Amino acid sequence: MRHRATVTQQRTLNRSTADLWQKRVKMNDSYDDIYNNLEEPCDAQVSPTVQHVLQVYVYSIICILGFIGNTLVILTYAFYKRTKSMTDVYLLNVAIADILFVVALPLIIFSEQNQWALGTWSCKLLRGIYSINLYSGILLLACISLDRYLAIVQARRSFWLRSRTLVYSYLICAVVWLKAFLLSLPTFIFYEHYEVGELGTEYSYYNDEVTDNSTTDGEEDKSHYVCYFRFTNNDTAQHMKRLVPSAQMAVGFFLPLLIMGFCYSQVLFVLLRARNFQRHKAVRVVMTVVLVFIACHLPYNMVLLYDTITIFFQKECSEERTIKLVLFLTESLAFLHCCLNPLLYAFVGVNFRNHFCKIVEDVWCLGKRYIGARRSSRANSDGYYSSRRSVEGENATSFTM
Amino acid sequence: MTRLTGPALALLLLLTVSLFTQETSALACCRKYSKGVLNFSHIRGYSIQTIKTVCKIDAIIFHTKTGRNVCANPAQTWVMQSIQMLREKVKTMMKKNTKQ
Repeated sequence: MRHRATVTQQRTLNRSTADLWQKRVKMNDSYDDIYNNLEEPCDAQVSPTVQHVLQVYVYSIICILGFIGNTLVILTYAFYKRTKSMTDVYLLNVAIADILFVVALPLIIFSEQNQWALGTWSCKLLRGIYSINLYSGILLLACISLDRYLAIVQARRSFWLRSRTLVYSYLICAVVWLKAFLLSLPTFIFYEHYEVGELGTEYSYYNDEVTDNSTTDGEEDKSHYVCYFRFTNNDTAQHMKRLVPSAQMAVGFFLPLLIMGFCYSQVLFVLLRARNFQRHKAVRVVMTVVLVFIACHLPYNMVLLYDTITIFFQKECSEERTIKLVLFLTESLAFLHCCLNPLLYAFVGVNFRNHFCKIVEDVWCLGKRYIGARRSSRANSDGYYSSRRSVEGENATSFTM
Repeated sequence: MTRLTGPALALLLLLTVSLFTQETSALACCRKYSKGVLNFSHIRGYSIQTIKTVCKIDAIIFHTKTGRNVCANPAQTWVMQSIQMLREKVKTMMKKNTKQ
């Protein structure tokens, strides 16, 4: 194949240098047009080396750290700390969402490299789980910001509401998961496991034969399986290919960003007015939470926004390649967020840290119990008091640091 | 701590397994239509690309006798004419075959 192509190239080159004048006259000659006005299919996939490096080194670190961090959070809640406040319930749910995500991700990569050998159901299920947890994780972070806002800014007004917190928080979590599921429905419905040829086409007609892509001969056919959208008609395709990423950006980024932006700016305002020796730390934590969220998700969503707007436009191959590459790189930055959540939300709180210390104590202990005891007492005496305790009294766990 | 190393190691193993099963597969889509016109005598056949699956624009891909693939806009008249002519060719060929 390649050999033949290069021979033709050679021949064409010779030809075009010899008959330069003819080129201008005979515009219809395809040999000239191949180099001028004809476009060929564009393979815009991210180069295997980049994929390989990212998947093996970066993703594995994200997955392992995310797995360990979120497991620790879940274990702490499961064995040592009964969920008492709204924030506890949210944090536990975030950890569950993140851990499912972190488990689904390597399975998706693994399946991708093995032609999705487990078939359509593994494709739908893994992609669906991935999508659900992407949404629910981020939406829950928005809930946490709302909860902190209610606790700190609307402290008095929200007191009656927060006294019935647990019921509400379970309800809100249920709504969040349901919403995440509904948003992932298109994935469940339209993702399929199917074979594509080297060209992403459906049918090929040759002069003497009509072939389905699944039965083409071996010469050109390097077909492989993909797990991706498949629609039965063009209109649904046109709508869904815009709607799905739009929903992902709107609900999975801009809405949470708006909620977090509003809530945390109000919280910061109150914190900065408070005369309290702990407020600097609280301010720092709030800023970090917001900035990390923006740093992780903004780049990916900006590229996705551009890609979604221009999805059906004609594009140069080089542009398409760049977009795919940048999407791939920024996406892994977004993935990083799920292994930072345990640090940013759970371990930053003094109550949670104390309970976690108890785990460390119990697991390592028996003989060395005194080490753990010394450590946890140090944590208390170092002045890690809950800032909320100082801002508005007791009922602390929602915003401790 | 020790009970966590089990799952973590399994995960690590999974990822290292994926390291060795790396496979490269090409997947090309038309992203832009040709401005030039392809002479019918060079066309061997064609394929249809739709937005229903992996690709982002609808296109006709002509396969030339030199083994090249050329992206064409299905809305252009010369494209439809070439397809009609190819179909006619196939039809006459089928008639000949059935007669024999």
